[in-house]
Amino acid sequence: MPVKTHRHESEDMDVPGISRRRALEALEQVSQMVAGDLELKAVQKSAMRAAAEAMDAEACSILLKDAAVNTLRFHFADGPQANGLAAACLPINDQSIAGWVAGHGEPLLVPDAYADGRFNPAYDTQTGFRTRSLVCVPLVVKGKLLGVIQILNRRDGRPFGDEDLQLAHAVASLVAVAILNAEEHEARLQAERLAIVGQTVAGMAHCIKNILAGLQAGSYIVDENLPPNADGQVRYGWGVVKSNMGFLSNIILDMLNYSRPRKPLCQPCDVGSLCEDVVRLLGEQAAAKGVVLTTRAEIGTVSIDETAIRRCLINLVGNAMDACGANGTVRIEVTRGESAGEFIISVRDNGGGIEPVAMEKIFDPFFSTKGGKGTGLGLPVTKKIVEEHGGRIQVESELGAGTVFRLTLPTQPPAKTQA
Amino acid sequence: MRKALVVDDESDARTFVSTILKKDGWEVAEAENGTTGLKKAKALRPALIVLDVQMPEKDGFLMFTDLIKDPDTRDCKVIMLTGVADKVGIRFSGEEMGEFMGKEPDAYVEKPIDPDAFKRVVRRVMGER
Repeated sequence: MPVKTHRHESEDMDVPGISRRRALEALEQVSQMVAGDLELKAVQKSAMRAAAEAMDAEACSILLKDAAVNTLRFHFADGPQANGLAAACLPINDQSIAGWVAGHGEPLLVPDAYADGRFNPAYDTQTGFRTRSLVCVPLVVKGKLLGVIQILNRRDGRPFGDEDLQLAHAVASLVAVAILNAEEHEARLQAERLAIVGQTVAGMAHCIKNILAGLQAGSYIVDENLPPNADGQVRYGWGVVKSNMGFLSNIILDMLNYSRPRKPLCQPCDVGSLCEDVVRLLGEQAAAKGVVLTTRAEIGTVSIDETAIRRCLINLVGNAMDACGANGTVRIEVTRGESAGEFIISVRDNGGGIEPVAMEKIFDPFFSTKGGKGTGLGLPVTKKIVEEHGGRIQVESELGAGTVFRLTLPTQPPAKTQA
Repeated sequence: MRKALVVDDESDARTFVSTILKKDGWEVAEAENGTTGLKKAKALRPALIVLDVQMPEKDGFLMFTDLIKDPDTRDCKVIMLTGVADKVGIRFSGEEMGEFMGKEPDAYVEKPIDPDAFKRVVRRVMGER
């Protein structure tokens, strides 16, 4: 938004606010900092300090928006009594100056903080700082609100003026661009790292799959020939080996699935029996956790890549079991879709639900809420497989009530193209 | 007892598939390559042949094209074990191979094999529920 300009002579000492010459100097300094190849936080700090210095201000801060919970968090605060603000956050609403600016996307010039109904004195009380006058400007880039910057208290005790607001506005634009650049740079780095991991994994795929096949073959043969009267310790130890082999195999197959595009190999499959298999496969693990697994299907044979959909179900049911405590229930249901030619597999649990903060990220690779127990690949792989089938995945979750994942899939693969 | 033939060059994999089938009530013969596999198929006339794609000498595709040319073995049900695509880097497409060979195998099963899934494919191929 354009900031209205004043007509007065900038050097006029009777008008409050920064002189035009000092503002230009400060702006030049800040733009050089942003253009320089410094670390983001250092750029933000020095840019804000330069602006505050030029405006002869006592304190300044940057608050960044946490979109998931609609709040602002102190990212950087400088000035007397700024300690202790680092962890503070405030909601985006009309209960504070920064909250108002973020909510309305408009800058504010507040000559007398305590005379403004929107000012929240809680931080003054907490830090012992006394806010008199402040300038608060939104950080906006490409139409997206990133946060706000605040500049507080002229050292000479006079209120800030329109020229100060103008300078703050220009500095905010530069800081916003610096943040965006840094975010994009980080995203590119992340993408490159993923690509390298992907290539490495894909290159080893055949070798790894052979080893898995051997482990699976050997353990099946042991299982089938384990004497019914085998010693309890032997059975226990063998169970440990098998379940960990299962975990390992899940991780590896998820990585292999994620590492390359894959056209589903669709064949007729009785999807109800597939679900029963998964229930049987995970039954022991569920029982150990006190979770009851059930399944029901109202349709029979469809054409899907069974191995791949099985992977999805193992991931979804595994997550659902982890979300439940004792007395949990997990139910897999296969139903007709809303339109002909579609069916739905839903996996519903009565666990803790997904935190709204996590919800945005659940399909991002390597995001996990399970700490060391999760790879963060289960859901991205599931989504990838479903989309490769020409289907879609939806999730609904309520904290404390549970979560349901719905896979909507075509009953036949998308029209076969004639070669 | 119904007869099945398992053709795979890796003995562990052969033993694995044989064990699953035997537990499911099949009489199982084994062969370690396509050439021996064809001879045994002609002699035993198995109801089901489980065929690994990737084998030295005569691979699974070549053996399959020979099987469907011979009236003695043409009607055997064939399950193809895949996994080869990961080595050559292209995804193996059942439809395209079917066009190339003139007929498609009755089913494909991807390695590593899951015993339950494999049994279900066998039942489907044999027309059982």
